Amino acid sequence: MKLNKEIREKIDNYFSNITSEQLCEIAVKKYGFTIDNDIDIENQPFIVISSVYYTSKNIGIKSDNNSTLPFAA
Amino acid sequence: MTYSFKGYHGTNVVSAELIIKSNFEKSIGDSEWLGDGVYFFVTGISSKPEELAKKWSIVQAWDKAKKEYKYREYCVIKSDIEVEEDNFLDLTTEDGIEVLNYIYESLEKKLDRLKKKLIYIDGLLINLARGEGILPIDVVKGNFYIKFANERINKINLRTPNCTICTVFDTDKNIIGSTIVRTGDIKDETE
Repeated sequence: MKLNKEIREKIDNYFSNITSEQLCEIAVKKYGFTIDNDIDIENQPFIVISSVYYTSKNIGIKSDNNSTLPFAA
Repeated sequence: MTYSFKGYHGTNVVSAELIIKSNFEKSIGDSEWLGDGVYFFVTGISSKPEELAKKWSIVQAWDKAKKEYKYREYCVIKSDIEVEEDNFLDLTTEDGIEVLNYIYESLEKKLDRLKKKLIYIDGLLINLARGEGILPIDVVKGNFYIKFANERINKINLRTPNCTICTVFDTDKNIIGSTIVRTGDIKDETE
């Protein structure tokens, strides 16, 4: 079987004579397809619900000579 | 053009005798790789489909929950398969893959209007194409990675296909004849 003109037309013919709603129902109820409910967060707008601002006073690492913990690279 | 090839089906002795007397029982469900039908190992990326069918029957015998074999005797059936080119979807070739992709793309495009996405599975696409009369698909062939006993015991999960399988939807139409070609004790193969 090759994707020649005849095969392409058969496939096109089916999909142009069915509504999206009918197709979805058939796919799920008759053939067992499942709907992908994963939400695609890519390119979705985010709503800012709160912001915390840090000033230069907050930044710094307390270090003393007794500390044996190495700094991460 | 008519394609003819041999398919090997691994099962147990009791089922094999029933198959020879009456007919094969179809595998049906959404986990079937190439859609509904009877599954066979065929020559393709492996030249030993009979051996693969034997290994498959041994894997199928193992009851994981009870940790015992459901049957002791494996059996391999050889079937002569014939199919017309227009009814044969060969997913080991670029031509076949293009057909499947076109069905998938058309379905996805149509459902895009509903802002719905389906989880697409090869077997379900094939079932839909056949069941809705879109294409007269009788036999489908594809390359897969199947985990036999060694792969399961040693947890080997490669992606490289290790066998070629085919499914026959209507055995009365496409299977010309079947014979039992090998039987044996699973114990001899596993111990």
